[in-house]
Amino acid sequence: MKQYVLFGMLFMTFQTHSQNAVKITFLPKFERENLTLNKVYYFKNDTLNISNFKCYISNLTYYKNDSIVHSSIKKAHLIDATDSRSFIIMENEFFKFDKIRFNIGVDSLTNVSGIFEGDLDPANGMYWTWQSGYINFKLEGTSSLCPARKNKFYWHIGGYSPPYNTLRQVSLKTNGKVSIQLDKLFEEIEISEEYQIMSPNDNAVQIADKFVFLFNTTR
Amino acid sequence: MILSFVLKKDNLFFSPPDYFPKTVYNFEQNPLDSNKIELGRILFYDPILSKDNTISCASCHSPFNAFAHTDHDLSHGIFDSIGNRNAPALFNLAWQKTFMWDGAINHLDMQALAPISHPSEMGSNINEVIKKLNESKAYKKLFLNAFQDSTISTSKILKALSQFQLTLVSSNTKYDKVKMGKETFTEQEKNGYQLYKNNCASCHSEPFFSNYNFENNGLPIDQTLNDMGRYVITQNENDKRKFKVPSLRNLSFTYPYMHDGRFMTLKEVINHYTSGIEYSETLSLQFNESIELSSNEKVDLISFLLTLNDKDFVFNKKHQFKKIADQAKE
Repeated sequence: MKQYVLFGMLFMTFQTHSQNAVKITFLPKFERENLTLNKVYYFKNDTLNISNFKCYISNLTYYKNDSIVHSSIKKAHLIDATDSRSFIIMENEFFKFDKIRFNIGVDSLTNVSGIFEGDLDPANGMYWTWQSGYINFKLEGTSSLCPARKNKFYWHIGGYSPPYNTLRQVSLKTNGKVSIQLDKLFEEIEISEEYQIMSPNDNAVQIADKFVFLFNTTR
Repeated sequence: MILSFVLKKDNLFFSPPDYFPKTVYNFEQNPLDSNKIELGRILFYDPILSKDNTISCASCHSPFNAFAHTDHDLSHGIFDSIGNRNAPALFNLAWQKTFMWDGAINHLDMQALAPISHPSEMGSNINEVIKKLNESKAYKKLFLNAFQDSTISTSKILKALSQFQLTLVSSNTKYDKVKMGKETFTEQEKNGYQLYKNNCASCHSEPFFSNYNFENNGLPIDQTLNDMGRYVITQNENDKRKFKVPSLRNLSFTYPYMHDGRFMTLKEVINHYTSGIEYSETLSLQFNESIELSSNEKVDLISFLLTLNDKDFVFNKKHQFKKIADQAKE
């Protein structure tokens, strides 16, 4: 009898496991490796490191055969390279999907709607205090090609209203694993010219235009 | 039903006259509550918000100056550093879409982050403020009373500060009393009102005496500041030299005037409009026709403008300094 109960329990565990809540993992990467902060990377003719990486993922929607099956309850999710728990977005239910769509950054409505808690708390360092607005994507570090003091570069990409809207949308066929290929930014951007971007402007928009290329399905 | 309940409740602390339009601020997201207002009031007067505990909001926004900063053309902050703009008066904030002379801030809740973080104002940051408040038993108690939760967070601090500032409503001037049929203008004031309507009202529109838009009023650029106003925020050429139109309410309490406090007297201000306008590409269209006022008319206009002073507002005890210890003895 005991054995049957045990077996039954195992079966139930298996059941709940297979019916597990959906989760999406966003993994920051540099070339083939997972991103390690402050590690020296030799990339093309550059020697660089990344000391800080944060970005918002918002309005995450799940599709199956091109129709919406679920919209994430969480308005915006902050990915922070210092905390691997932040790489995962959990949904509270199970459903099947083959495609996701999301924004990189915080949408304009949220930007003008006052104060929020949690991931949108300005205490997270992703909000400009001198000019209202979220920083959508933040990458800092040093690069041997960067002419600034101590070779430091600051890419604080934000801006929610035209012509400097830096919110970008991504659609991806995926089973739940997405990589953020940060090395691609260094391929696309001349760091010797664009190394200090900390307000909504043309340069911020140009960098935002590259965001979509960073997000890929992990095979 | 729910909405009417919310509004009714708000009326205890917030009851503007019926000729004031619908508020921009969404009170449903932050319903007024006496404990939250009091917490906001205590925070407003507490220098704990600044890096070295020397500067409070009220340092530059004094209740007796309609929450502006008299005697200082440019405001100063910690370490005696001097900013680059005149501290604006604070009242009727619930009807404003943007804040600061250049509209840098898009929501009242977010406003306080700017002076808290600015190196020449309070020179701190919200994390530092949260840490300091958390170390105070008295504040923990105030937050608990206000939010039924003693965890101090950005959102609670900012919402409490908003609540206090939302109660700063100026609507009891002589002008308001005339509007409500309780008093009448003198002949001189009546004449001044007409002059105001003909010459000032398109930007300083009733009942707030500002349209809260951004305009270039023809001030020559102060070369020591080279302040381009709204352009700094939008990077749009059409916004160069534009600043947010300030209200004319409480003028006697809020001198010096203009974004850089360049004029000490109302007379200087009026003389600027009659004979000091400098043409530039973005000059507001209103100035295509020059403003002509005789010296008698200037006196009449000023007599009307003085009916916009709100002594009840400026001397309202509910808006004045409150020390944390008075509120929350441990």
